[in-house]
This record gives sequence, C-alpha cells and structure tokens, in this order.
Amino acid sequence: MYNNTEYSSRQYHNPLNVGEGGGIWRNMADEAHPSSMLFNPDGTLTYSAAYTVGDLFYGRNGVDITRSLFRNTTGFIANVYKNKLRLRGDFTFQHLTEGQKRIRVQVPYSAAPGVIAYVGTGYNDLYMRDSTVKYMASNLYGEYETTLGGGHYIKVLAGLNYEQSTFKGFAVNRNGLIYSDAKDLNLALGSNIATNGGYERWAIQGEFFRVNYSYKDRYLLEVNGRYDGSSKFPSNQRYAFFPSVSAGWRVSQEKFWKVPATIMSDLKIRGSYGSLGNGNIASYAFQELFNITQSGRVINAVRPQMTSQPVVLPNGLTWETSTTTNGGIDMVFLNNRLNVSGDAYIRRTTNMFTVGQTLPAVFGTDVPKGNYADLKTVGWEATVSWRDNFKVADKPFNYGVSLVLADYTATITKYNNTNNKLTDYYVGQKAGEIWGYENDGYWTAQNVADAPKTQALFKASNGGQWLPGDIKFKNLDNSQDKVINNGANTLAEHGDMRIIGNSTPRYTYGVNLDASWNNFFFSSFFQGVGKQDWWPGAEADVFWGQYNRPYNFMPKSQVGKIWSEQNPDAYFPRYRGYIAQNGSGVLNVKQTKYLQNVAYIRLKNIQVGYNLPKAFISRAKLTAARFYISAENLWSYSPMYKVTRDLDPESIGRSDTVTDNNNSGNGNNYPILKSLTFGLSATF
Amino acid sequence: MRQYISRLQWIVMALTISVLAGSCSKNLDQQPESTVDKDAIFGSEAGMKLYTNSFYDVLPGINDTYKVDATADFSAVSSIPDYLRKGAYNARVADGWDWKQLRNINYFIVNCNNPAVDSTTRGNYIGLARFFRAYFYFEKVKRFGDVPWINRPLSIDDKDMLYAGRDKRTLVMDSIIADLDYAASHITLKTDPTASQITKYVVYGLKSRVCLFEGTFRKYQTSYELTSTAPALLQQAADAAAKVMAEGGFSLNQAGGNGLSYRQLFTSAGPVVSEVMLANVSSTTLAVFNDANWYFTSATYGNRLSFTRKFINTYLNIDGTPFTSKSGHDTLPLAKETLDRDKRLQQTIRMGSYTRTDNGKTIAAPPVFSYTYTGYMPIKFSLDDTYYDNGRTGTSSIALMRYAEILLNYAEATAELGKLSDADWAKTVGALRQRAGITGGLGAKPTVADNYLQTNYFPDITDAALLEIRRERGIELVLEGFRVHDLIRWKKGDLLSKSWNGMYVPALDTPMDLNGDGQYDVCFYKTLPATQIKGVTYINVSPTINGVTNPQQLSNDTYGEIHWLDNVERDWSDYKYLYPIPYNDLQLNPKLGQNPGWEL
Repeated sequence: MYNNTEYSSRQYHNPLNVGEGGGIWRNMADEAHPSSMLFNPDGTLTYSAAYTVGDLFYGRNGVDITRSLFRNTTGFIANVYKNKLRLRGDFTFQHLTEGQKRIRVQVPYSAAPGVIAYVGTGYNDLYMRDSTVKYMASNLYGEYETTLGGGHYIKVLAGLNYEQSTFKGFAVNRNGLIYSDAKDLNLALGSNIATNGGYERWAIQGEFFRVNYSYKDRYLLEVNGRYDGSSKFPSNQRYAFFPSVSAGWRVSQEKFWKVPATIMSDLKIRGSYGSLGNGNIASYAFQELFNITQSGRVINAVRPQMTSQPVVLPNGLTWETSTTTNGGIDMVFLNNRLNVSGDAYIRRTTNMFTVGQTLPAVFGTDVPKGNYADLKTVGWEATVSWRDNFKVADKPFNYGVSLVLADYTATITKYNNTNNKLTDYYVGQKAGEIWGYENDGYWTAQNVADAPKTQALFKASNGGQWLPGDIKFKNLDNSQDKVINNGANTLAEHGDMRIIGNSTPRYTYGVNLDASWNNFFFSSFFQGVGKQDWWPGAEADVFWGQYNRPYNFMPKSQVGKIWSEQNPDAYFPRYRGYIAQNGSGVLNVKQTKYLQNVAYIRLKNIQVGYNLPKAFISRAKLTAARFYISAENLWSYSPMYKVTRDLDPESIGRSDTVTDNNNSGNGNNYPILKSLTFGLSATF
Repeated sequence: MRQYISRLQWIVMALTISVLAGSCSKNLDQQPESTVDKDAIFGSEAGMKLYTNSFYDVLPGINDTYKVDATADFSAVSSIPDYLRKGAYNARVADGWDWKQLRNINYFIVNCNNPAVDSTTRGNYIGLARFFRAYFYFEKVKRFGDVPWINRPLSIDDKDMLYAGRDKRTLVMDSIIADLDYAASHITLKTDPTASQITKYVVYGLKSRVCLFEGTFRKYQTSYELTSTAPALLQQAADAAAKVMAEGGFSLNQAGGNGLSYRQLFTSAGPVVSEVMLANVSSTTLAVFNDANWYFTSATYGNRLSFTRKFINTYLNIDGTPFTSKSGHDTLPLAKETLDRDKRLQQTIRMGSYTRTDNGKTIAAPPVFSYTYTGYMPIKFSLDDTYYDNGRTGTSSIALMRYAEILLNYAEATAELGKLSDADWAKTVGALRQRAGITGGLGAKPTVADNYLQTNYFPDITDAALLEIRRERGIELVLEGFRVHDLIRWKKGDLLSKSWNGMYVPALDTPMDLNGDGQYDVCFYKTLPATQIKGVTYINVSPTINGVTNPQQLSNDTYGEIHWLDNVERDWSDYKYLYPIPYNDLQLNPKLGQNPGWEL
C-alpha cells in the first residue's frame, strides 16, 4: 500500500492600466514618455503616469490569479503468488482550482493645481472567474515474472487504464462599483453584466501489455502494446492500437569481450521501434456546436447573447500517431571515469492534427482541423561526462564535467497543398523556417529615385517618401521591372523572398562543472542554445525603439548606429517613425539584416560553499551544516547583445502573456532576474 | 514480506476495480453541456433571436463609420491613402475578400425550417437574415463589381461552388433587391424606439440606398452598357424612399434650433430617434463607447482628418446664395470666411464661437495645428468636453442610417429621372437647408447651375437641381461614410486624386486669429522668429526642411492657401472604380479573374 498526497497553491498579481487598456508592459513602452514625470509637485499623479503605470501607486487596478492543486494517489501491490505474480493498482484524484479576479477602476491625476481628473473613465468593473478541473486516473495491472534456468528472465504485464477529466467554470463581469476600493461582486451595482459558463469532459480508456525478456543481462527485449480509446474521437474512429518493441545488447557481457576495465568497462547497444498515440485535441471537435457569446453591440437596450454558425467538421478525426525509430549506445571508459552515451532517432508523426489546406475565401469559415499532415523529426542527443579526483595538499580533490547536447529538425512529409503555397504547410517544409527579403544596403542619393517604383509595396514614411538611408531590398528573382515582391508566394515562385533563417532552437546544451576539496565545494551549470534565429516583430519596441513609434523610448544601444550622411554604413536605417510598426513599413517585413541570432549561453547557477567539519558540528548535535553562496543567471552572452542588451534571449516571446491573449509586441514581460542567495543549512 | 492481502488493500483494490469496471465504453460518449445543438436554435424563437443577433456584426462597428471618409476627396489626412498613391496599391496588398458573415447568414436561412416554429416567425427571422445578406452583398458589389452569388453554406467538398467564377453584378444586384423585398414584406418590427434594430423601414431605407447607388452607377459608368436599366432602379430608389417618407414616421430633428439640431444627431448619447433610423448605440451603463473624440483630436491616434478648402467653399451663405459667387472669397482668412454661412458649417468644424469644456471650465477652441493640416478641423462627431479626448470614451451613438439620407436619396433619384418637382425639392433639400438656418431658395428648385460646382466638381452636370442635390449630399452627410461611393457612382473618382488645399494665409510671420476671439492662434514662417508669442503654433512652410521637401507649403510660397502633401504623387485611373481581387485569393481560385487594370 502506498499513498502520495500533494498540494500546491499559487497567487499572482498582475497590474493593469486603464488608460489605453492592454498589457501594462507594452503600454509603458508606448505611453510612459521619457520626458514625463510620475508625480506633480503636489504629489498627485501626472496624466502620463496615470495613463500608464501610475495606478501601481494606488494598486487598485489589476488581475489576481489564484491556482491551487490537490492531488492524491493511492496504490497497492498485492503479491498473489510466490513473489512472481503480482497485482498492482492505483487511483489518482486531482482537483485543480483556478480563479481570477480583475478590478478596473478609473485613476485620478491632476493636470492643473487643485483639479483632479480621471483616466479610464470607461472602466469601473469587477470580473470574477472560477473554474475547477476534476481529474481521475486509475490503473490496474497484473505482472508475472520468473527466472528460468540457463539465464532466461521473463516478465509479462497486462492491465487496464482509465482517465477522466471534467472542467466546470463560470465567469461574471459587472460594472458600477460602489467605490473604487470595492473588492466583491456585491458591491458592483451596474447594469452591464456578462456571464459565462463552461463545461468540458473527456475520457480515455485503454488496455496495455508489456513483455520483457532478457538472457543473462546480455540480450534484452521488450514488447509493448496499448489499445486506447478516447471520447474526443467519433465512435467509429475512437480506438487505436499502438505497439512498440525495443532491444538491447550489452556487448561487454559477452564472453569474447576481453577489453580491460581500465580502457572500457561497459558497452551497450540499444534499438527501438514503436508508436504512440496523441489524442490531445479539444473535446467535441467532431460535433456541430453553437457557442454562445455576448454581443459587443447594444441592441434593443441590452448587449444580448448571440450565437453563430458552428465550425465545419472534418471528414474524419482520429489519433495522431508518432512512430519512433531509435538507436542508442552507452559506453563507459577508463575505470568508469568517462561516460558517453548517445541516441539518434527518427520520429514519423502521421495523421498530425492540424488545419487543412486553405480553401477559397467563399468557403466562409475556418477550414476544419483534422488529421491532415505527416511530419518527420530527426534528432539526436549525447551525454559525455568525466569524473575524477586527485590529491591536492594531501586531500582529495573531486571534480566532474558533464555535457548534454541535443538537436532535432522537423520536416513536413505529407500535406495536401496544391500549388505549394507558402501560406500553408508544404512537403519539405522545415519547422520554424523564416521567409524574408534580403537587404541590399541603403538607398543613396544616386538611386533613391527608383525606390517609389521598385519598393512600391513598402513605405519608408507615413507620407510615402523615399530618401537616402532608407532600406533597400535585393531583386533576387532578377525580375525585369525590379519590383520587390513575393512572387506568387509559392515554393516554385517566391519572388524576392527566400528562407533567411529558422526559429527552431538548435544544439541545445547544458554543461555542469563541479568540484570539491577539503569541505569546500563548487558547482556551476551553463545552459544554452547553439543556433536560433529570431525576427523582432512589428511591435518589438524594445528592439526597434522609435522606428516602432516615434514617441517610444530611444534605446541607448542605437546611439551611433543610425544612418546619417556622415554615417552611411550604420546598422539602423534613416531615422523614421512607424516603419517597423506600420503594416507596409519597410522594417515590418522580415529581412536578413535585422534577423537576430539569439543563440546564447547562460550561467544558470553557480554555487560555492563550505561544509563545516564533522568534528566541529558534532558538538552542536548537528549531522551536517554548510554555508554557501548561490547565484542564478549571473552571466550570459548572446550574439544579439552586439545589437541590443535590452532584450534577453530567453524572454523574446509575446508580451504581457499573463493577462493578454491578443498581446502586442515581443519581449515586454517580467524580466529574467539575477539573484544571489547566501545560505546556511543545518541538518540535525 | 507479507504473503497475504490486507483489508485496506482489498478496499483500494475494490475501488480501483470498480472505477475501471464502471468505465465501460459508454463513458467515451461525452456530450457538451455549455453549448447548444441545432434543434435548440431552430426549434424556438428564442434560439432564432440568439442566432440572428450575430448578424448585426455585418454592420460597421461603432468606431468605423466616421473614419470611412478619411479617403474621400474632402479629407486631408496625414498621408496620401495608398489606394491613391502612385504604384502603392495593387492586388498584392488588396483585401476585403472575406465571406465569413455570408456563410453565417446562409447557414441560418438554409436551416431555419423547423415546423415547431410558426411560419410568420420564421419568415421574420429569415427576413432579417436576408436583409443582412443584402447588406453584405451590397458592400461586396461596391468593392469588387462582379462577385459569386452564394445562397447556401458550402462544405469542403463543394468544389464547384468553391472554385466557381464570379457572377455578373446584374445578377447579384437583382438578388440583393429580391432579398430586400423579402425582408420588407416579412420583417414584423415596424418601429424601434431604440433605433438599434432592423425595422421594415430600415429595409426600405437600405433599398433606396442600394437602388440609388446602382441606378446612378449604371447611368454614369457607361462602359458597362447598362444605362438602359438605370431608370427602373432609380424608380425603385425613389419608391423605397417615398415609402419611408410616407409611412415611417420619421422627421428631421429640430429640437436644438438651426444652430444645434444638426450636430445633436451625432453627439447625443442615445440616438435621436425622430430622425435616426438605425444606429450603433453607445451606453455608459453597458460600457460601450466610441473613439470619435480620440480620433478627431489626437495628434497621433488617428490620421488627423481635416477638410479641404475646396469642400468648405461649397457651404452656402446663410441667405442660400453660393459663397463662391462672392468676389474675393478666395482670399478671406478662416475667421472671416466662416461668417454667415450655412449653420451646418459651425456644427461641422471648429470656428467662431466654438468653445470646449476642460475640467468644468469653458475654454477657447480654435483649430489646432498639432492636429489639422488645413485649418478646417472637424467637430461633427466629437464631444465638447476634453474629458473624452483620450482613449475610447465617447458616449455618443453613431448613426448608420438617418432620415436626411432618405430625403436626399429621394431627391436625387427623382431628379435623375427628371421628375423632381418644386414640392419634392421643398420637402427634401429645402427642408434640410431650412433646418440649417438657410433662408433663401427653400421652396422651389434652383434653375441656375452653380458655376463653382460645375468648374470644380461636376463639369458634365447641367441640371441646376441635380448639382445642388450633390452639394447638399456632400455637406449633410459629410463624414458619415458615403462620399467615396457617391463619387464612384457619379464617375467622379478623379476628384479623389486632387491636391489638398487649406485655409488662406495672407502673409508669413503674421500671427493669425482663427476664431475671432482676439487671441492669436497660428503663425506661418520660413525662418522661425526670434521671439514667439505664447500660445501660438508656429508652422514652417519653407520649400525644404533639412534638405527634404516640406509637405506643408503655401500656394504662392509666401502667401496663399496651405497645401499639404502636394509633393506625393497621386494617381487616379478609371480601373480604380473597382478594387482588385486580392492576389492570394485569385491564386486559390484563378477562375475569379482579375478586375481589368489590376492584373500584375
């Protein structure tokens, strides 16, 4: 019998602004003007402050997110027959509660002495959301193992599995807070009331078996099979069988293995082939459903509920299958000091669940998602570690180095794309590939007259004027008219675009270094990515500065790097507002020059410490005690730092992800923190 | 090691086994609970209402209508619209080929056949659906001309329809009119005190709009060789408008007298339902606001729309005579030229005694050059309290259809048919001018063609009444989103590419008082004066600034009308009367064919 109980609880407060609405980080970039003060001389907030961050000062506007998880697993192992036949079972229950409370009220400021005005006058509401997910899982299986004469070992296992998850939730929004510090729905008196319900349940049921066989620990064989059914698929496509087989050969156990342990003590060759099912899609995806939402319009004096056409169903829907072929080798050398192991695999994902080929727009709704693509992933992983010791001043100096390195690439191998349109998947497409234009320096006084014609699809200013120092693209397709465009936007005819990079992180690695000597200890962990490209999005103001909006902050890193007649080879083009932000702006399109190399290395952790000598601590009835200093994220380097240090390669994703779904911009998030810990730990 | 099974183990085992045993395969049949199925929608009136509420999103949004005219001939904005900038617009950047709303409507029409609901009720909701389908298709025809007519929801396998070519505009227009006729005879709602729902008379109103568009389009766009079909459409436009006039119960708002009544229609919190037939309603209690103040006052949020002088000149004198007939009118500064004009001018732009409220205090509100490029700064849709200027906080309801338009539709259709009587004139244009405080020319249609309109706008029109109806339409409906398509149906797209002129500046370095309150507001210079007057905006009109052409200059270098963005080349050709089919959509279905002139 065993039981395992787990409980965790989390609370998170994210401030909001009600000036312009939207994410607070992004808003600071736009509206917290560098020349504006936070406070007036009389202590009130300025307009600019109230519009953006100012309410942090009052702390009323914000979202409080709570999450608590209770999980209990109870299981048993029943020994039915001579420790050879066992029955095992477990039952897991998990209760996840998530809540959100959002308060939005107007924020006072002052623009003239003694006169208080407010921003966010349209906001005065309280939103509460609560949801629970009750999950249970149960396994019951029997296993039989026996060792036969002559070194044969066999183990057979078979069982059942059932999982069920039920989501229930509701949300309420009501305006008209009786005062701006109100924190409960009872104090919201307005007539703008929005309610939302929510329910989802899915269930998975499976049967499985496993057979292990080994001969003298030399030959290892395992056969697995699962037969799974999921409520997420229609009844005629609900079940699927997923077999797998793996084998290992410990060459070093063979009689002919005569290599001494001082050179090589262990060699194992592994191989496997098998498939697994992925049924992780939305529930009810094969049923015609009418979602009910609230209209944004006032119709007959209310904002009524409404519904609209259900999504179109795919012709069929079933499990996505990934079939992996894996080969591996484990080697131990030099009296166990050097460990090397490696794996290489090819994974073929078939019936990948994704959106179908784009149909003509007259279809009139989203193309259904179904099992439309196949994907091939090729990857490898290697671990090398070295561990040894030697004497320093008669005391042992232990040290170790280990390196983990992994890489993969994924390629689409099947997708019905009639013309190989680049807007859909196409066969041969590498996951993460980035298409863009190639830069060709800047326009100069001699040739800028051609710009309005060849780059008519782009703008270097709101007014549409071209001047020396504006971005020039290369006419890659050598078209007669020299007009820069994406051709037919197909694989065969992509005009002046080409693949300029790939956003997949390649060669991810981790390095551990540790050492200890005479009660002193040291460890460090480096982590990084060897190769990755990143295109700063249109709203990545941290990167673009005033090229995004002319009233943003100007990044210090751009100083001296902006084009001028005196500095014609500068990294950034002629100083122009909005050209990164505007849809047709010349920095809005992906292009080679500003594609960033966000490979990085980071010292995630470094620790130095001292274990107090046993003799010293035993008097204090301690079994162990240590002092240490630990530091996180102390140092990092990325090639991107040559352009800007204002962005962190680990925080370049979407902005304000805590509160916004339709966020704007990249990199505006709670920053990666450096931290330093001094510690003392004692064990009694 | 224990060789037996404990009681506790039995319990856990029993629990586990019972969960697994209970989980027979029926547990894999899960039904949603938070969504509804087809029977619930089409089997009750409540369900139909729930569904048809989504159709209202076919209408423009609350922030949309007053921005549409930013591309019209009378608007000077921060940059030349790409559509008119030479070489900047083509099939690759085109958009608007979106059909989601149509499928949503067709799905309803095709499935609304549940006999559990009586046929009158079903007819009402199908009528509503067909009204919105007509609205949807009217927008598509205006933009693209020929479009595929689709009257059922397509499935993935409907290859014939998905990859079909376009239908002729004549077929589509006939279908639109058939939808509107059905809607007019089946929609049961006759009046709506909230002006937010589709009533029978809103249907007739749209029919007059659609038929006037198509009738005049076919009359003037002669290359289509459809001129012979124009009179019947114009007659339908006149008849539909007459129906609203006779039965709809609407009247022109007069509540504020002739100095305020017009603008009340655009700044009232609730729609002025005597005149407004359909509106996007704002509501403070429901927290639905618009961004009109933000758009019309911010130096950065919108495109700083202001009017050209050429358009402002069309506002009549208060006595009903043309302002442009007065000699020397073209050298009057703003403070003078705006005096004694059609009272809609003072309700449309900042001028004269216009003031605003700032934290409860009345403040002077001359045109500000941090916003306007021409001096003629709109106020038609913006509220007077600066409280509303930042963010989406506007509390006015935005009209989508009002009775004044119906009167103008009636007048124009009738005039185009050559049937306009003095009585027709008096109850349409005459009534609108009377509300605007104009004293002359109200009772009988004009007989002398205005020279200014002919020279600057419509050289091919000789009918004095028709010219005046067009003047009236421009003024009355300014910023309500009609102008560009009026020019298209009149085949006057060339007006869109004309230079943007602004107010007259008599001399450099001379501060000007724009609203006659004795305070200087703006001063134009080539060399910034050493001492500047506080509160005056200084505008550089040198030919170049830092070696770059200055987009804002005076027509005679040191004096004259302000010109904005004359340095950017505009381009109009007749093929632009239709938008291009977006290149990507054409590639998905080459049978659509490109509109002539837009081929890459």
